[in-house]
Amino acid sequence: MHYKLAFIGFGNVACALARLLMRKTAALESKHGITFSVTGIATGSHGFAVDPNGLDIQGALALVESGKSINPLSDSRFPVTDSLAVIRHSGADVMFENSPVNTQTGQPALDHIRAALELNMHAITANKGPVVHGYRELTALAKSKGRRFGFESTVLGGAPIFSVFREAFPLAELSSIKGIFNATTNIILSRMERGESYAQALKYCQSIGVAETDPTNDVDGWDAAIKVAALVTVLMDTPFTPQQVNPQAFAVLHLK
Amino acid sequence: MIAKAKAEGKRYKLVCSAEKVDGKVTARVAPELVDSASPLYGMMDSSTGITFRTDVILDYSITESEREGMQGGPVETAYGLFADFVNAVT
Repeated sequence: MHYKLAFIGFGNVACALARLLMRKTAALESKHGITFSVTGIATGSHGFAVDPNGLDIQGALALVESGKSINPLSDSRFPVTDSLAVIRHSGADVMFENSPVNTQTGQPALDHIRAALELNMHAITANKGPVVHGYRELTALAKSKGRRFGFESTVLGGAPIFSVFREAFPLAELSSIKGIFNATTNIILSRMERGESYAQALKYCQSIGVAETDPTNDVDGWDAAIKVAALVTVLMDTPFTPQQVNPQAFAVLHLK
Repeated sequence: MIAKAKAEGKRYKLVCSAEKVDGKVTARVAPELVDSASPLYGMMDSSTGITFRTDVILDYSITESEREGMQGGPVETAYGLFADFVNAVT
């Protein structure tokens, strides 16, 4: 079976997915009879491209890596200038949503996923926003369309969590969860234990690309809090927001 | 504080937790001292993990260790997307 894929958001994670799909191309076909083409790409700052016959993935990766626009790759019959137009014109079977996280509203990811499901696409995201802000609605919409709303990569990297509960724990009642969900602060604490200052450890995280230039989301606990909210929302069947978690992580700054 | 904890055989972790009691959920994210008996104690650097407590299997734990840095995190996350895709269509 051939699947057309659309990439909405084409940053580090989406580019890593494109490379992974290329690396696994032969295994996908030999084990599952799956072949694929990428028919739509929407980037944050490097343009938009649609081609129902399949875009040049290597070309798109090379353009984005060198800071150039992917617009020249697009089929000229489809003058796309926004993400929703890419979703509509891609004719995709599967939409990968990787736009930046918005903890307050879940947008624009919510709109991307609604649009894709309405068009009978599977919608798969690494974005925690739509899980916290739209889990019940999007799961019901997916079910009504016979499609999947997938979000396995929102918590603990890509390690299977949600699918383990869905597939392997029938009727188990979850009473508590406890863990470490944020790598940046864990690296900082580990390096401080080995003698580095907070500033040195943070600088290291930024140098390897784990922490953002503005590390607020990590060190103030909001990244961890939205992951807690996603787990509670899905696995405890209780809608929950990061604000209700009320993270107390800022105190990391005062640990000496 | 961190050195003092280390001298006592403990370490600080940014602990995430949630509990459901009588249908009501409480959750927190805060730095906590953990000792070597905790599954969280051994999670260093980019290792993360979670313990689930259920009414049937008491504690079920998963840990993940990522390759550190830009060659790492995105690849692990990308695999979750890849797995969702394959699981959705097979």
